[in-house]
Amino acid sequence: MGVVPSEGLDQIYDAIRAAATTVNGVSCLIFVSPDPDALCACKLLTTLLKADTVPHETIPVVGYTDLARINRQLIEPNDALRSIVMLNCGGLVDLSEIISIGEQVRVYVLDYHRPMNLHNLYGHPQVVVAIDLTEHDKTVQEAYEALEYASLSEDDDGDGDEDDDNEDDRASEEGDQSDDEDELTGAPKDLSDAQKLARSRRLRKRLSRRADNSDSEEDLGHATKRRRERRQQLRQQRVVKDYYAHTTQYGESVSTLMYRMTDQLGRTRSKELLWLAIVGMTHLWINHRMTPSDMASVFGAEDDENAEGDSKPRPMTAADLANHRRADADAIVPEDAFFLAMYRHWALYDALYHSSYIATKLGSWRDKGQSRLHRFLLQMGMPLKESLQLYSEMDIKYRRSLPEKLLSVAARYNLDEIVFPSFHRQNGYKSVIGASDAVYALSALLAGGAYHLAKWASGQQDSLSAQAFGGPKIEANTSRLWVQNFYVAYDALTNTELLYSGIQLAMQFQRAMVQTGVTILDRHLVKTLKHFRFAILQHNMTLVRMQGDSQIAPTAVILEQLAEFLIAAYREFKSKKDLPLVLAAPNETGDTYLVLGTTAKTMSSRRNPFGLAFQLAANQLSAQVKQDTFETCLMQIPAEDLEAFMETLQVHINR
Amino acid sequence: MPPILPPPTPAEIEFLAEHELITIIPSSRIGELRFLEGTYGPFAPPERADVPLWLAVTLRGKGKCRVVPPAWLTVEALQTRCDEERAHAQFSALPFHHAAIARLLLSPPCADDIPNAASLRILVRDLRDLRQSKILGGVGLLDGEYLQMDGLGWMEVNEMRPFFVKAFGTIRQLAATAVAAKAEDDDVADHGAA
Repeated sequence: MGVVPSEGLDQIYDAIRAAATTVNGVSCLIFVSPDPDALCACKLLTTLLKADTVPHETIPVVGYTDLARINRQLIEPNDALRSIVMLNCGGLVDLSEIISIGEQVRVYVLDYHRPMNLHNLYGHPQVVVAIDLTEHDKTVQEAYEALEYASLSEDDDGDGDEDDDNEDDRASEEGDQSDDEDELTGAPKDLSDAQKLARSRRLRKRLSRRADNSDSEEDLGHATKRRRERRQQLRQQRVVKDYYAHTTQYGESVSTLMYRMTDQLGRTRSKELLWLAIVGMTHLWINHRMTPSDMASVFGAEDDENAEGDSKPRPMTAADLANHRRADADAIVPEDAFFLAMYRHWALYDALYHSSYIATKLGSWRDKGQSRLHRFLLQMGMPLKESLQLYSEMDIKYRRSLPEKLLSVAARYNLDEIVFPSFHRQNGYKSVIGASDAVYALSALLAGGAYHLAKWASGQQDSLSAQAFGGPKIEANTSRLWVQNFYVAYDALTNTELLYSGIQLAMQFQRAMVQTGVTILDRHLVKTLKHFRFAILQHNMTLVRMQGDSQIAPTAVILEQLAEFLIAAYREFKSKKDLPLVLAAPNETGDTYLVLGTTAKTMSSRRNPFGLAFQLAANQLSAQVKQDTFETCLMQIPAEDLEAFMETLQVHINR
Repeated sequence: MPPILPPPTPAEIEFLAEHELITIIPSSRIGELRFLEGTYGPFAPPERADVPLWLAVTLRGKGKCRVVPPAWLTVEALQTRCDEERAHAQFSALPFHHAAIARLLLSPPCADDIPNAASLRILVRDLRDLRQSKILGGVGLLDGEYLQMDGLGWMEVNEMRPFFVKAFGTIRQLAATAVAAKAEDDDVADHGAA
């Protein structure tokens, strides 16, 4: 199949199902990267598979070494294996280099990371990639195939008619090119036998194709032909290079893809599934991995579906609203959401102070900003006493008028982007959870759910979280802690109590994040270089301490939020020039740093120049540097190499 | 005399109610389904099909069909029934299994397909309360000979049964004692007269 357009996703599912009927045992493995989007997609897929009683296994994977380990343990010895689904992982690298793809196995890649590796897209017949057709570029495919074919004919010495000098030239060109590609893929270099096998199989295929084409070119002059070929090849290399150098971008959220799949399969729509798709999509949105136009188009579609699925005409009538407020109502309600993280779950003042959007716009960490925040509340007509109250304890009068007031005052403070269309889920009187709240909660649970919940549970035995989590059951082996986190978050998709604990945890993280951000700003720890800024977190900072406590390195999501906070703060208060930011956070022992590169995300762009630069810099440095996550601009670097890495990065970033 | 079986539990009644037929709209093509009790299908959307409730619930759980609520399970219909209950002394006409069917259809996974499920749940509850009060009103009519209440559902009959059977027995006993006492009195009176 190769490439499957997002209109034909049912093919993937049908293939998985058909393959499952031919064998006894677990024929389908689902690899899930630990992010809320993949989590939701996984839940959607397993719901489908369960309904059709297809045996499957969900495997959370965190990075490439992990994937290699699983390859040894689960893929190679499994004879019944027919399908592998990769959710938000593996799209960036040549998969045939990492996992051994047996004769009968097909790998389905659903990944929002871009650029998708061309080997996956066009190179391997057993790797199936789901992408939007607008992303499918014919010229890139042709260029890739031509180059691949050329490099293979190079290997093949039977072609004796090459001029010697030319050949050398080309060989070096080719070498460069393939080096570049390897660098770009960032894959482990040790080639497995299976991978070599796959290469040779590809070779055979291409050779046979070549035999068909060669006749027509016979009549051209030898020299002209060579020159033309060479020019063409350079052009093709440029096309491929451009494709990769297009820097890191993001595609469509995989949970949206999955939801479309259920739709294409003709499954009856259900709120449960729609909610998962909304949450997955919102994850991309609040982490700025979607442009407003993407959001609008996807949102429009889901909005319609929602209206249809609920069989309710829109806009909603008062009676409908009354219906939603019933004790037993379970409904997904469209709303105007705010970039005001989890405001339904803590005090309004805290929500405003800890929202990176508002905090950076008002500068609320400085005295001046603090008074501006007070004025903001004053203009909203919100008594300070009420705004320090938990939202649930706030006077109903203020609670009702909050969105309206917030909007009217926000306009005066140049906070126009504060509002975005979203949904919340109403579960009777029990809970109201906004889609973005759910995302924050899931991210927090993924970052440290197991540890923190266990800690809380042991602290207060009768608490809700204790019940939800079933008491402390933390393993001594902390290296597998993230797997527990993954399953806690996975359970939270269906368990409201657990999700609520996730929100509490997310608020803790948010507090720590803002505190750390303010410390960095106060102490002027951000250094500005020519092409980017960088800051190194210190051990005594709240965020690091908190993470150190849970014995895991600060996770990417929180670091990313911190970076976003700092960038926004710089934009508003320090310098007009938007520069990308590199953050380095030490782990608990301080021997390695987690380095994250992120760019000023104005709300309309989502390019990240670091993806490429990081890999180039890492390749120049020692092998100690580990890029062991599915994000391109995130790396683990030993403390002693940090300085060198920064210097190398400086060289590469302006290229 | 054979021992009287204990009355069925609500779960048992629900189980039996699951054999009632209900209309579904399949959302994808499904081949013939063979079961011990019968064969259903093949299903081809958008053709409606009548299947037992248990099959409908199972298929809906897998997202392979939509359930069409029966005619009596709409806001208007139930509202009319409620009004009837209030206006008349008789019980309004509802299916024998209405309580069990309503419960199954108004809980997940089927609830998503039923328009205004939340209002319906309240109406079903109202209806039950109305009918219960009427049933309890019937206690006054107990005479130890027979009791007729038309239009009751099985679940309702089952609910009233333990109390009514006992009351019935007690009343009969009392009546028997009363008769015996009267006969004695008569005897005494006869003797007295004689």
